[in-house]
Amino acid sequence: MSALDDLLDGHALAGLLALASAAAGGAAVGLADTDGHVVAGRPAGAIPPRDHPIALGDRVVGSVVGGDEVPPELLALVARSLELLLAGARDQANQARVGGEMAIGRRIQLSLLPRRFPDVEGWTFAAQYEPAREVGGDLFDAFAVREQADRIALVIADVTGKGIPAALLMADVKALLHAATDNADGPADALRRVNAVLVRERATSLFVTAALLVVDVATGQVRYASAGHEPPLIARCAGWVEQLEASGPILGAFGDAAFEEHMATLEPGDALTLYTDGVTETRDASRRFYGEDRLLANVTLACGRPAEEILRAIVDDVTAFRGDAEPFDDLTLLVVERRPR
Amino acid sequence: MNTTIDRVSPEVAVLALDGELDASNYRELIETGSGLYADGARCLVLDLAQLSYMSSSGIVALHSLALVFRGQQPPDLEAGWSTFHAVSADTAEGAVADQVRIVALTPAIDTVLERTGLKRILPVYADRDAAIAG
Repeated sequence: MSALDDLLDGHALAGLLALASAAAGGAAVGLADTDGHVVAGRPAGAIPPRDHPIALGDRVVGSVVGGDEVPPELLALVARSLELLLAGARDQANQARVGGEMAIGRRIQLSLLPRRFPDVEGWTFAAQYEPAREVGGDLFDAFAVREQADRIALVIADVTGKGIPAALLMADVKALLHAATDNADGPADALRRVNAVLVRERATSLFVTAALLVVDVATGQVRYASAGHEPPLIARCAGWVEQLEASGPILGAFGDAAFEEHMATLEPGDALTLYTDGVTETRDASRRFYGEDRLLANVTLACGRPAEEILRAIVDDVTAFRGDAEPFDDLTLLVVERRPR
Repeated sequence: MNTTIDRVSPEVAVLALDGELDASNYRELIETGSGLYADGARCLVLDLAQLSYMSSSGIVALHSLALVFRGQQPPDLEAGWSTFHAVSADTAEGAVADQVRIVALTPAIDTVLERTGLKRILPVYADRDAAIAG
């Protein structure tokens, strides 16, 4: 494929050559490829005495050719016009490629989000996923743990990257987390298994932060572990917020990673809030961060309310804080409420 | 983000970061650090006193620099999936690795490094002299 194909496929070339020919009193003006063959305009085949190179970047891709009667400035002008057309076509192709990649990444990412939440008596789920313009790598999930009645696993995760590579890694991590949670002895063991696979078999420049919680829906007991992720929150219906801190490194970066596991209990009326740094790192027009303090204060005010209302309170406050500023990261939240008796 | 290089000896370079380290500039940081390694530096001291913010891209940059100063190639950030199986894991178990050192950790950056586990491969020192001495 020749670099001139974009010109030969378009309509501008013939008109430009005809115009140049007319300006030179009807003299032959044509376009030649790098082998010297005239591929458009006149005269076909023969190589006219005058030419002016057409450059794309630092590469000569062809030339504008004409007879002795064609002024060199006119050849230069036509060559320059064709260079601009070629550069425009190339930029457009690049934009289409990048845009296409982003769209594919976005489709993969959306396909990973749960279509519905587990149907559990006494528990309510609410989630928000608001993608930024550039595709990020956020994921949330809620699923019943295999062969363990009353156990629900909650996942929130964030890949440090964008586009198709981030989306593919997220698909991988989602499947690994499911399998590990089903087979492991608790969330810390599950994260350890997923990390081992990522380090051993899928070494990458991308990393994943994740929080994994296993909830006993009969008792409200929560076992949780974290891989470098923002600590999930418990909004106590009595009116305060607890951060579920558990130390553990990002997934995929350290071969010998160890993960802490802790426990908490969700009483009726309490709610869990899982979020990604897209929430706390939302910026306003003057580039200030929304921040953890404001999030905690806001969730404290929403304590004791249903999952959907807690979610709405956070999203509304973050959106109001952001104002007209462009969202630069995905905004992802999962709220799980143990309904009051 | 601005970077200032202080080449205290042929083997040791101090790189001071000023501003925000995020997706817009983390590749430059990797290139700057890789350039210092190519130029003979074998110990990199990162002075983070004036670093006000570090996103997850910053984690990738610091991790990559730790690989570079161990004499490994960091994964190609553009190549994506094809590199996933091509590079080896970074931490040989039990290996002592302190080629990249941190000084002047602010509380905000400290939280990020602690939470992500990066402090495991990036020892933190109280000041430049302590970091250079190792």
